[in-house]
Amino acid sequence: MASCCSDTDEIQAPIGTRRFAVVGNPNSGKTTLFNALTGLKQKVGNYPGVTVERKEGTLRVPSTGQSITLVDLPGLYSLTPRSPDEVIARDVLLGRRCDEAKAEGIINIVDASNLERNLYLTSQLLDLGLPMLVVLTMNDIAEQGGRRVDEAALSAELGVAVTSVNVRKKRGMKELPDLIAQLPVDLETPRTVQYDLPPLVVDETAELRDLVLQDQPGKSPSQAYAEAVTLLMTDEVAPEEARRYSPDLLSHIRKDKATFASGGIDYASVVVESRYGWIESITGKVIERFGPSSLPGHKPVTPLAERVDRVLLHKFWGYVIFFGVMALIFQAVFTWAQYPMDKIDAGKEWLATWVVGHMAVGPLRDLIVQGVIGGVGTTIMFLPQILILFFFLGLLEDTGYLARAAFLMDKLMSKVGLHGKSFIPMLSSFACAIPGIMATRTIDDRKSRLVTILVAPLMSCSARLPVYSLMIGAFIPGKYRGLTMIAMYLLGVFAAFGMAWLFKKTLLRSAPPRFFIELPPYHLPAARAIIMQMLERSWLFLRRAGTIILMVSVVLWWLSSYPRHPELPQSEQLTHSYAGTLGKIIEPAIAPLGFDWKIGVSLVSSFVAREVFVSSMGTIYAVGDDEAKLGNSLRNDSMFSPLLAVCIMIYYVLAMQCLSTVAVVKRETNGWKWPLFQIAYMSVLAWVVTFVVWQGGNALHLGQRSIHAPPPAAVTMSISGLGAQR
Amino acid sequence: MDLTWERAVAQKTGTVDAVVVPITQLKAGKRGTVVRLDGNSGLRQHLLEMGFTKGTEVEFIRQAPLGDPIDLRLRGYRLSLRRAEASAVIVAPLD
Repeated sequence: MASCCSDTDEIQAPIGTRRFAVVGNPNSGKTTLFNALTGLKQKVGNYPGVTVERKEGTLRVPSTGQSITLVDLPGLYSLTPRSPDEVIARDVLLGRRCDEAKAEGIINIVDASNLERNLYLTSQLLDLGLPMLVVLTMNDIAEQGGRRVDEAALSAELGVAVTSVNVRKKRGMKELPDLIAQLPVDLETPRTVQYDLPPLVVDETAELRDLVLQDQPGKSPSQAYAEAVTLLMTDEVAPEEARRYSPDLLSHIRKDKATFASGGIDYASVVVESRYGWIESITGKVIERFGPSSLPGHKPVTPLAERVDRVLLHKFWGYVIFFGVMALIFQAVFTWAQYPMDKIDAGKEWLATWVVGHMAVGPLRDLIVQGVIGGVGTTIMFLPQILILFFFLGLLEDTGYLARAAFLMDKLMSKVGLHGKSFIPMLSSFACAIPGIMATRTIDDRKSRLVTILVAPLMSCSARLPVYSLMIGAFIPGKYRGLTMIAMYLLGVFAAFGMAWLFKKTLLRSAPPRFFIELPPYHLPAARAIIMQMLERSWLFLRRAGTIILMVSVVLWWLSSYPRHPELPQSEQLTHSYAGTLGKIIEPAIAPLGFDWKIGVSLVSSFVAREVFVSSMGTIYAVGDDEAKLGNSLRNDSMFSPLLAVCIMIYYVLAMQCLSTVAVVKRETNGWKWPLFQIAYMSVLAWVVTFVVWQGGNALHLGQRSIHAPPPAAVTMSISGLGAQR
Repeated sequence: MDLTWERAVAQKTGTVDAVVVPITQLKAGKRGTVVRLDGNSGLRQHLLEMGFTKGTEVEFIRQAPLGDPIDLRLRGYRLSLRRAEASAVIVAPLD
């Protein structure tokens, strides 16, 4: 009864194409191998309802011309799931997902330098009774440690084919497609691994297997056995899981658990220990030792990674290097990206000019030039930053340094309830929140990831910089400019950490996330895999976020261009448009912050991208693109004061004004709930803080000014005063 | 706690196995064998599956510069855990 799908909605693989799941531990080189096998013939998406990436690729077997579909499952340590990734992987392997055609067989990637722990998952996969190929990776690292895995012996022990590859040196890669193609369609005889288990455990597991088979007839006996083990391992069957099973089955599980408890048997311990016992008996037979380490009485050499870690995880040098690496990335994202960004900007201008020259005057031309090219072009300008950031993230991950970074930063991040892995997404958000939010995918714990996504846009991104420069340039005296700029960045950092702490205490309260992070050996990165991942992420950004951004840009263009007033000069057009009207409508709401409708209009148009504030103010003050002139005009407007400039900046630090970010958050959280919540909380935060500063500043008479000599002391006071308000 | 002294006493009194400590109390660079796992069953099971079964040799390599998390080696690989979780691993010190 409780099988996951009816026959009609089950997705069938196209006839004639075989499907295999690629499964392995994290850090086993699985993704590198998958990329090498499938090249660019990949489809990347999400599993519906969860933010787990779904990757599928096509392998062409050169010798036969046959195509094979490979599904890259998220890395996992065991079939007992602890993260959404692992739930998906298990469900696919147990044939529980309707939206995923069943895999015919398994390609199990096993790290030869970490054989014992990798074989734990292998032992669980063997239970599934599917055709299977074991691919050994990292043989070079194993050999550096004086160990070699005997493929033939391992194959004999496991009862499945075993092969070795080295993707970077292209060793074993030519034979691999044929080995995969040669996997049998079905196993003739089910495999039975003999674990050393107490009779009671053997009997009860077999009994439950039979019940699962009765309950869910489509399953093979091996799959039912694997499911029975999983059910008995789990403490409490989760409510959403329980729906799959009949009440009889569930009560039987409870009875079994009571039996084990009264017999003094800890089912999980017994099962896991028997598997590791089996593994130890195998590794004793298949690992050959050579070199000095094989001599009796030899003291094992400290592995290279540990010697490197003496420096990289050192109390002092560890942080010096860490912050050096972070500064390099930051620098790269900020300044190296500038050149291609300028090029894109120039290309955008060129395209706009070309369209203007080749199209008749009219609303369609305006739509294309201002709406499409202007709006989408502004977003594409972030692409270089995204590419560079993901290149570095891939490099850090592939070499093994990312895990060390999490190790170094975890204590600090745990102070606000976050995870060491949250650090890099937060740092990336200084460049742009979009790649930062996309980088949260490395965080397994759902709530920690969500909190990181929620606070990441508080870090001052590069699009805020033009707003800060305009305001600081026009109103802050020379010697306080740098200080003011730093204060704005710090305000964002403190707000992000403060809100993270608050969310973890209230809305997203959870036990501190478990920090089980493997520190893998260092290895040379596979350039191809890094570049492919970088391109993949960028393409996702362009495709998914791009469509929403296009739509929004067109809407905003329309709001700021209509209704048409041909009789008015260009500079008045915006004032009398819907956006202008909107600015006047929201004026009562922003008046307590010292903002008038002109700023209101610019706030509205900032939703395309924050830096649009500058061009929008330029249009209103009829000075066009000239920032120096705009600064002068603002100084001559009696409404503006250094206090107001600071208030505008504070508002820009804290408010959610970037629709591209909203689009990405929607995509990453799979729904509108969290992006809408994020807009709400950031708007409230921005309003309240700006209100307090503006009203407080005025109460202290900081808002009054003399045009030629803005009171510098007053400005810094209001900035340093910010610290006290949080 | 002075482990060597306690061990000496334990050896004299024939209760060698009686001296067990959470792995977090080992000094950096010291090893121990897993005696049992404390903590809730979810954590125990997680630790088990990562290889902390009874009798497994675990080395405390170092702590992070800020004191937490810690860096362990077992079954030929390295795992870092926060102290709060690692203290569920009870070991008999080896050296």
